[in-house]
Amino acid sequence: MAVDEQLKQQLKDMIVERLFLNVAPADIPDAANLMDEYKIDSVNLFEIVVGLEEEFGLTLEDTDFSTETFSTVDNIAAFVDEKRS
Amino acid sequence: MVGLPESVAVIPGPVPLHAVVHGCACSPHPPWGLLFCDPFAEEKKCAHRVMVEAARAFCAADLTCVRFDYRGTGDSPGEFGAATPEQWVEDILAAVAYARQEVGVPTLGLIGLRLGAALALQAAEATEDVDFLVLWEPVINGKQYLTQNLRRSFIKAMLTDEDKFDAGSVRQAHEQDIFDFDGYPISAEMRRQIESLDLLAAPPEFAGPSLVLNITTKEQPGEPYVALGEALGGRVMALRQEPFWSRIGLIEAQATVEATEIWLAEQQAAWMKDG
Repeated sequence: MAVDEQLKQQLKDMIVERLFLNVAPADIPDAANLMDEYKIDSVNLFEIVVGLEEEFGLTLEDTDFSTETFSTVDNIAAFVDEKRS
Repeated sequence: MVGLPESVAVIPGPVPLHAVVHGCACSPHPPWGLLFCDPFAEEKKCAHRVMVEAARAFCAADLTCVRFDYRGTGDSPGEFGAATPEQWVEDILAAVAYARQEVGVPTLGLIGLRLGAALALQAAEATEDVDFLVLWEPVINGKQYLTQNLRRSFIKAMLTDEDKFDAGSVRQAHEQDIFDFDGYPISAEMRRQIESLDLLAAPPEFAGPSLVLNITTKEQPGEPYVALGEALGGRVMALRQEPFWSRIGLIEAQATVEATEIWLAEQQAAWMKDG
């Protein structure tokens, strides 16, 4: 499994676990709009942000907040990659 | 639980506080009781029904429960923006005295959620009239708590109107003397007191039995909760449950209530055994 695929899987696991979604992590398409497909609201998005900090070791800056960044697993993975590099 | 008596009361003190006493079917009142310490702002609103249902559940298990509103919140008089956490600790202490002297609860515990749990610990350290503590997802670090609130504000502003979203403006609004804390006006003094909150800064002075519940998605409790539980010499547990204090409409918190009931029953059994 390539690193980015592994990262996406970790992100999906985190999202499903933290949001108590009734879906298998692997069934979340990489490019699916999380807000549209899984009805992610501000409370859910906050949980994802906390998950990125606690489980992926990131520190988010004010400028990191945009709906585009958190809209899909692909985008979140790219964001995590960028923050780590 | 239907039919258990509940009565509205006024707790005397620096500010008279609105309270509800959940009595019990048995008479006189059972020897154990719980005083509820609510969370703060939007979390209080979201958790209100859970706290009511929890009080009724504990009452059905023969614990007298007292719920009350801090000054400036709920039905209690006072201005929300003028209140401070230190004053709310005073309110808890007034409610402790009321529960012991007026309601007649000889063995009293505090049960607090989020900021209410932190205030409960502070109150318990300031009196010898608290016998045990139940801390549900306590706010352990005030600075972190405020940072999380800022993040929530970013996200809400971002989702409300992304085109107009400007993180700098949101942060600036948070740095005003009176700023918006999730819809509630926070004074500079209230912010200062919340920022100074750090339950791990010094060993807690409370030495009675305690339960720290980390309500989480994980199997194991998080590091700060473990540290707090160890410092208190009490039990710390992780409980997999959605954060009911941040969800409007979600009122199911059975796992939290049941875990607490089990712990309380263990404490009662131990106290009876010890005479």
